[in-house]
Amino acid sequence: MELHFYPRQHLLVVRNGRAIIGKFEAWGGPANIVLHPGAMREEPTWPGAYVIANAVPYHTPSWKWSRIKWGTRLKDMGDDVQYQLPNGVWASVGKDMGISYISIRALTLALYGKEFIPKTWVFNDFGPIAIRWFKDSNQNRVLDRNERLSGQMFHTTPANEAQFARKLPVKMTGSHGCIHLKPDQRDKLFAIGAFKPKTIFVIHRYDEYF
Amino acid sequence: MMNIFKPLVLTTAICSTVPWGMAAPTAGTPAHMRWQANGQIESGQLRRKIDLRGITAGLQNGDGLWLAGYRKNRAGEFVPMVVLVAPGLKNAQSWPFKNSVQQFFTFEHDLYALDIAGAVFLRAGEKWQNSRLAFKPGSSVVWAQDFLIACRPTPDSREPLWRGSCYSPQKKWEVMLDWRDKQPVKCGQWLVAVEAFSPPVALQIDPENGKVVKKVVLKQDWAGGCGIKF
Repeated sequence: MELHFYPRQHLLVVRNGRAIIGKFEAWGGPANIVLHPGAMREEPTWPGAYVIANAVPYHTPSWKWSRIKWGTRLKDMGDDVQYQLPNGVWASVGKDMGISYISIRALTLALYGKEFIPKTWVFNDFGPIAIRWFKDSNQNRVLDRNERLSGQMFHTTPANEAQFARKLPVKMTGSHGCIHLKPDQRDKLFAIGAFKPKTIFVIHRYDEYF
Repeated sequence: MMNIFKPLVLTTAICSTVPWGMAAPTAGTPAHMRWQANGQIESGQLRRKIDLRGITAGLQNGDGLWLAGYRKNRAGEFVPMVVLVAPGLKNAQSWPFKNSVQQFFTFEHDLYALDIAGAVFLRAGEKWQNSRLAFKPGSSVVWAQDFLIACRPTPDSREPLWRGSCYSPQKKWEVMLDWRDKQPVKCGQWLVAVEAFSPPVALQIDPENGKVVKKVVLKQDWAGGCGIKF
């Protein structure tokens, strides 16, 4: 099985030899780098041949709302939200992440149309799971020590996850370089084995069309 | 003179030294009343703890101390509440709100409560009623003299749902601004905002029309206030 992404067409094609297994909507970055003073730059989803490495619930200290993994259990304390650490201990979102109680309520209002503290963290910018890829320099389909995971990845967005949960149309938008997927299509891609590690993944140039 | 109380940023420490909030009272009001986010109220020697937590806004006027926070309902959920603590701290009235109130402000002698959805409620007698005013979600009023100016920040997520701005519903202008933590302020006859670039950029804005009249790159982060030299 191989994955082929055509960024201009917002198209991800799953192939098995010559047979087309499926076509999925997928949105990458712009064709050229776009700089935003004080904000993250937008870059192309870099064309090339890659290999799927793994799929993980992603978290990063770089983004305040992405420091906690999607799905982490939460408790509403009325003036703070607590999140559960891997060892079972409860910690403060306010103290640890600098995210105020009212801003969590405000974000659920913006995403879900009503104000509440969810039972689990649904604000990670990378969604429930991120699918990572790497440049396989020796073509052994293994992430060797001298090879690095791309900083770009497949993922859904909190806004799209909320739209899907609310049974609203999922409005896709371009990314800063990652590849955005619709939540149900991400699930379908997993179900057909498209994201199995070692799968070949080709990002076509912006002037290439399927 | 109208005072707008900015939402208190909570900082908690192991020894629980919770900061006090205090709104300079409007003219004709009794002694300062001050509050902590956990519902502790003080007025002179008097002290009282009210059933309200996560207090996000406060304003003192002739009626007493208005506070916005949360209270647990019978279902065990924390719901937004507005509470009025009368001078002398003996009486407290409360009103449930659908959405969190993030600011009280006075405009043309009326008291308003602004919630996180941008809805504005007018204090009318013993009730809070829908007002003719409405703002964008996440906004705070930064100017309430003759006309209103509200601002909302660019959210600090990786892919913000909106871009920050300041705008005036009465003067019918909006200027897009990438401000984040430090709310724009009224400085004399101007509105001053600082965009969260690296380095930050301060803007002096004409409140009549939203035009940027002066811009200066700052050498260090802005601590707030009107000390920027344009």
